[in-house]
Amino acid sequence: MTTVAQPAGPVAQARRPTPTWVLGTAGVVTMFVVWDLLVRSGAVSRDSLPYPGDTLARLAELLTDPLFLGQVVQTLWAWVISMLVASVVAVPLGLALGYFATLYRPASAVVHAARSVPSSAFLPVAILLFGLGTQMKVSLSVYAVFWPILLNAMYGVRDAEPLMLTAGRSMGWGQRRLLTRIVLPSAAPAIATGLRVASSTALIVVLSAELLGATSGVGTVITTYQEAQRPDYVYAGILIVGILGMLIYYGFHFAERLLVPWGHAQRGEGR
Amino acid sequence: MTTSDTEGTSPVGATKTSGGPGHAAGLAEPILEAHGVTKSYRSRQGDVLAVRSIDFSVSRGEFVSVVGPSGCGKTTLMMCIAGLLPVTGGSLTFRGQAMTGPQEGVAVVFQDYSRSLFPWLTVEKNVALPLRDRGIPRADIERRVERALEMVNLGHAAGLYPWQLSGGMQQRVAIARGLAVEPEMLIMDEPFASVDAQTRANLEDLLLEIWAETGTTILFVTHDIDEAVYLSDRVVVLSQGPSVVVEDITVRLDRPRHQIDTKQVPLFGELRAEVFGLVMASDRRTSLSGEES
Amino acid sequence: MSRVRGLLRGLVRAAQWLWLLAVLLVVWEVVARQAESLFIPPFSRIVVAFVDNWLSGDPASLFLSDQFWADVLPSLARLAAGYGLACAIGVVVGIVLGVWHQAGAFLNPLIRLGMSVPVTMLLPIAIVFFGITSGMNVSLIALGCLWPILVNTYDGVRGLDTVVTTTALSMRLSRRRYFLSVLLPGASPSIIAGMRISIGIALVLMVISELYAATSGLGFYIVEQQKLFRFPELWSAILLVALLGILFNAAFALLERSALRWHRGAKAGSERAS
Repeated sequence: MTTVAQPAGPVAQARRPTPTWVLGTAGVVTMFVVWDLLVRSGAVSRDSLPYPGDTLARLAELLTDPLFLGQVVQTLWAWVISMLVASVVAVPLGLALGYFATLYRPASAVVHAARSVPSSAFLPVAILLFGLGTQMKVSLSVYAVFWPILLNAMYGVRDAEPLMLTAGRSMGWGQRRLLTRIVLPSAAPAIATGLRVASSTALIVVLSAELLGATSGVGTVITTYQEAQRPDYVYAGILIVGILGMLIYYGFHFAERLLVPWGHAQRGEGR
Repeated sequence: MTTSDTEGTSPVGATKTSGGPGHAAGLAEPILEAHGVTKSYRSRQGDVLAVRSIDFSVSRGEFVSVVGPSGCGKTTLMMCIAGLLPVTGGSLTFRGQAMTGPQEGVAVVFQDYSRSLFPWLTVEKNVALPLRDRGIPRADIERRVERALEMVNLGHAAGLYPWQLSGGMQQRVAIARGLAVEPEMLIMDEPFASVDAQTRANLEDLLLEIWAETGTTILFVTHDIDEAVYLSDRVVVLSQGPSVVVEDITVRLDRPRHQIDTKQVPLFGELRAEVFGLVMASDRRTSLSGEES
Repeated sequence: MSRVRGLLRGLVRAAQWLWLLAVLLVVWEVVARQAESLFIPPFSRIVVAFVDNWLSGDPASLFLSDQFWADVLPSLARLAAGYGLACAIGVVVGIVLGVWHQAGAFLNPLIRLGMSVPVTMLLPIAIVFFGITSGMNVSLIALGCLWPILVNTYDGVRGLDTVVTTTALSMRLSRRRYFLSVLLPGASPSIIAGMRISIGIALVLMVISELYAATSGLGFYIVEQQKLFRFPELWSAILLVALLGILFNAAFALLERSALRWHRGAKAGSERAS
């Protein structure tokens, strides 16, 4: 039991608090009720905000619609490819740049300059170079996530505890052992953080590209429904995308805890 | 950027402290009374009893130590007495009034000085903080802060940040912060547990000096038996948790005390042995109970 | 003599940091000249276009061109409005939820969901609500920036050391004093970290929302130049966005160095002690 500051107040009563999940459920229910009342009262036009009931019905409909699911797969495909391409190149490169001290500074100057450009600004150029397909989505997404992954890998190597390295050397370990036994395990949490942050960013970039031009994927579907003035489908689609985002985020979070449990000190850094 | 430690500025032999105010104990009115104080925690395994029916009292101006084996609920009891945790049963009265939360006239010095001093405030502002927004004129606040810092020999460090000081100096700032409110009772929870032995001896003597000078009642929680006997008028020995008072021992050592001389007096050895025996016995009796949080 | 040496040392340090960037820009220049790509012009032409576009104005208007005032200023105004809104709402709500646990638990699942929705997906909704107005851009920027600030503020308040809060409790501080001298400074490192993350998001959303629908602004300018096939001009806008990003980041680095000096000092202190 921890004491919590309630400044200058009386000592907190020792009564059993309501469990958080009850409050959380109440919060979700309240949101739906308020949403419903907003539409019912006419405070918000039904053309811009559909009934929650309708939205949930469309959500169920979309989730069983093979055409829609096919578009979800298109989106996820671009996401997977871009994550793979970016991490396969950026992780080893970042490790190398972090490891060789002479390269670290000039490389970080390049990275900081390059990541200052939002990848979406390249969209008009990317469309002309790569067309409106998966290639364009992937190229934008790779640009967006390459730098955070690279930077975290570089930081990770630099964060290796000098004392541990000294201890390793005192045991007579050579460069290779130092690398595999100390440097890589020390860098792993930072790399995992970089990948987790990148996974969310990649999804956003892929979806944005779909919204702004691409011809396949969930973003395109939602645009189509919006043009057809079916807000119920638009909201349902956005909810699905939100849940997808949540799954990806917590999936990576979980994997991170599983694979690099020693890294929770570094968790929360990055971007 | 650590300023050099200047712990040894007040050799005890040079001070002219007379017998402590607490020697009138027994006649003086009680400032704090605990009757059947009980404290239990809620945990997943059900309620855990940390403190079981504690009875003791502290008289105005007394220096009382509470000792017990580690994990016996000393800190829990201290938090209750400071009004920072509600008691589950029994009653606590301060100046004859039942306690409801932290009391005016009580200051607390915690063990973990590096966390209980606010790193975003300078030493001066840390000490001034409990005085602010209480209708005390600014000039008065400044004067009291200055005096409190002088008392712990830290006048020169007013403008520094706590993290620029050594551990012993930080704990002196925490003591000054307690003194600045001119409390009737100063509660100290293992205040010297995290400093080295030399610093600790100096801090003990500094505390005795301050006590003699201000006449404040001091309730001192520690697991160090030597320290308890050396400092106190009375030593309250707690058992292993759920703790009860095993013994309440009056320390009739002369004051002013001296780190070497006092500890060579036979009585000191006897008291030390007595307390030690009580603590060890209670520790062995119930060594199955869990750790204190 | 020593001034010359100091200058020299500064130059050497700058070179140590920047030589790779310079090499890469030269490579870009050479490759682009060889390839003669229409879409990716040589870097030198982008710089020329940059100066022509944005920096050809009178000294009276700080050398900034009319084009700058016409297209960059609306963008910056939207960014400032959206980001400012997000900061105000995020900090206030974050603190309230952090202090008032029941409300925090009540809203937690909704906040998690809100965070997870890729904010650009709300563009189709925002445009229904606001039409093609600055309100659409501002609301999108505000919504995207809100989550990191809110969540970081909440974490900062909840993450306050229990020793700190207990100590404050024992001092019987007034609510106001507790808020100003304990809660706010204690949570400030986390709050400022959230703001720093959000300024990057704000810049991205500014561009995306203007690409999607706007009648002025940098994103709008980029779309226009693409339609006209004026690629050096297009790239000069991208370069401007990048410079803005670097500028914002530097501003935050400066803020953290001055306002959070105690934070670094305290961290170094506790590492030294342990």
